[in-house]
Amino acid sequence: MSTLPVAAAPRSMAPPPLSPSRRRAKRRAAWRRRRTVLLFMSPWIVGFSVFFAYPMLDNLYLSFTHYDLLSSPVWIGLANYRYLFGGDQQVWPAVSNTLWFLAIAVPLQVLFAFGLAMMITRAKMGVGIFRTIFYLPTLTPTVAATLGFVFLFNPATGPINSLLSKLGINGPSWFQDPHWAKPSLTLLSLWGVGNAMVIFLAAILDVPKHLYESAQIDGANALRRLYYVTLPSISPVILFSIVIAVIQGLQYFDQAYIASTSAAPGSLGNAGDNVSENLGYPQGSTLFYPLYLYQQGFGFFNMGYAAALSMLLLVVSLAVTLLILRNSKRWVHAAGGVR
Amino acid sequence: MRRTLALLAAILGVLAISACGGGSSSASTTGGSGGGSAPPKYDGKPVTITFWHPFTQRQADDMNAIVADFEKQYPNIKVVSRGGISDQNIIAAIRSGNPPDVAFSQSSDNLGEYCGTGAWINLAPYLAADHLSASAFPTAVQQYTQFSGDRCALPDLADAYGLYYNKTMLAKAGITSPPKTFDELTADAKKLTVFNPDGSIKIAGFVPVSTYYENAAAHYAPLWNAHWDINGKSAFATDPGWAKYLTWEKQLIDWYGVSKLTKFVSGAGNEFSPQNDFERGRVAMNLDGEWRVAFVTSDKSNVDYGTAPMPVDPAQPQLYGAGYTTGNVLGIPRDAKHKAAAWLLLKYLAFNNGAVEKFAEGLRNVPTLTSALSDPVLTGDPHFAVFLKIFGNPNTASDPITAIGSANQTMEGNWQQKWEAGSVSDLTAGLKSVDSAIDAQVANSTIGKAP
Repeated sequence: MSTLPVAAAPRSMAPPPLSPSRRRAKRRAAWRRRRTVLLFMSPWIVGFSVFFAYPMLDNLYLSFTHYDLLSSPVWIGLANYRYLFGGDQQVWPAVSNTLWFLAIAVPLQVLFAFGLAMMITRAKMGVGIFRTIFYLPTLTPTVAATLGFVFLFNPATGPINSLLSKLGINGPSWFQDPHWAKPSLTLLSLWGVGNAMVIFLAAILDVPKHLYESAQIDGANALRRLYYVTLPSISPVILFSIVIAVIQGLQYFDQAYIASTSAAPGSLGNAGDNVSENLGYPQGSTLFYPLYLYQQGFGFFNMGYAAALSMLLLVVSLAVTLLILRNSKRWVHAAGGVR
Repeated sequence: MRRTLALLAAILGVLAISACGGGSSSASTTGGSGGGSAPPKYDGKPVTITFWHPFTQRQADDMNAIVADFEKQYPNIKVVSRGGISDQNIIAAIRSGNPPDVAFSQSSDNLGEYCGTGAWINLAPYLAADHLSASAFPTAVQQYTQFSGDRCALPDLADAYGLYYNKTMLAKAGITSPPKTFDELTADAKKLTVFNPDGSIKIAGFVPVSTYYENAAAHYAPLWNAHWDINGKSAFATDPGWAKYLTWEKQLIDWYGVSKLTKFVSGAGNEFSPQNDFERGRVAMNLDGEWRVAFVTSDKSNVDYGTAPMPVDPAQPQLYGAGYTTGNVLGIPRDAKHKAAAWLLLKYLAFNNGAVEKFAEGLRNVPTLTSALSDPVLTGDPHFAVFLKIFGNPNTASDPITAIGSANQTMEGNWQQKWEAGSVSDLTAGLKSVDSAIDAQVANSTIGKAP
């Protein structure tokens, strides 16, 4: 048995300094590792850059230009923002319409989806049928659904008002009345809460049964069980639904576009023929912020200003989402948590 | 840290590559396309040109028949036609740098952009080289085919608007002739209106609501001699014609009742179908374009109707016989590959008397060549002949071509809906607010543009 000399342990823990060639070799190896990582990440990097980062940065640039789609953008500094905050009389009614939707329609959507989910969990039979019935509207294409609603709610020829008149109720003019146009769109959005309903249903069914049993043993009635067990347990899902609904509300476009262009007299069937025609009908009550942005960019050839409007929408969306998330720390519980 | 920097560098690198390749690559210089140089001349060699137009079905067949006639005259030029095109398609094609050789737009609303940005080339050199003049078209047509002195478009058929009246209903009400002034129109409308037992409207004498079919304010402006702008500023508050028009309109709406009229118009049938309210006898009189003559025939409607010029301001009876007109416009996009051959097609569609008459007979639209207004096929139809006379009237006008497209009409229209509903108490203040909004929009939309 040979005994190899054992080098004495160094007094210091620091590794010995490397020779220049060893350092170069190490750098090359590190670069090869990074290159491999970048190579695997490249699909995401390219996708993110092309479809997200570049459009956003280009949009930011365009917001400081005059751009009419047909000639090169011309730098005009803050002129678009000055017009937005100081000169445009049309933008604030559009903001008001969007805020109305956020304040009224979004909470109603969340509550309605939750209510439907609770109802389904209580059903003794036909659960699958009810779930399907309430989810089916989500599968209807947005344009078809909106056109259908405009037809059904036509105050003169629609079956809804016919039914109401048989019950002795004088139905409103729905999509033709500026006071009822947004509530009509809200009804349309409630009709399509199937996605949120299914998510709530899954969350409610996932609440551990022993929590309900414990609460029952402690004397909690149904309402108290809902408040102290169900809601805290599904609070992350409630937060998710609220955030998604708010973002969708801020981007509300399709239904408003189709409803306003098809509800004008004699227009059903001609919807979308002209970019600007009848947008916001009646009386601008359905001219939501994204619709106004679209009108400015594609109807009025004012794409630079439309870009400024979209930057404001981005900032507001971020701010609102952050506000909701910050506020959520007070009422959202970790998985399985109870009050 | 290094990893973050490497990732950032990769992202920026991709961004830089994307920025070089993307964006408005097709958008070249601003301003007009320059009209001084001699235009290219067609050399007679075989060439294929692309032609985009908005027509479909029956109307596309009529368009293609004209194109076939052109190809017979120029056997070496093959035209590839594509129908169903909108202005959005044309704009997208120009931005992509791959536009058609000839573009056909059904509306002159966007001509301010096409001419002002040079997206459609200036046709003045082509006209001069071929000794042609825009004076071959009526004055109104000359106005809506150019912008700020840049004639980047030629016309091919137009619309003229007049009054359609139900002869049976008028006779039953004891009205012997269609109204010539708006006062007469109001009186006749009240006589012709029939109410249901519950008070709702069964048949309306005349519906003045601006969102109903063709009742846009633009179509009434020439009847009140109202102008959209004066000295470059929006003129709703300063031109008295607008206040008179809106006052007349509101008085008739209030007579019907806002809620009753809203319910009535919400039951309007689709404008371009046999369910059109006039064709099925739901309204006794209606403002409409000359195309309704062809629709009544093709829809096999049994309405016994007559046509006449629209009534006018009672204080300006000399306007009677005039009306509103607008029309199709054709142009050559700046990146068109075969401009010389494209010009030949454009010239054929706009200036060839036979082609214009044949197309007008097929579509039953008004021919835009003054010489074609005496086409015996069109003048032989008494319903249609009225519109030829309206079109040729010297007081007939169109709305001005602007750098903001139809934004002024849209903004005025939105405000007018509030006025009609009774939400505006002070007409003058309301019109001033419309003017200031439009002027602000124009100011913002034209910052940075070459004067």
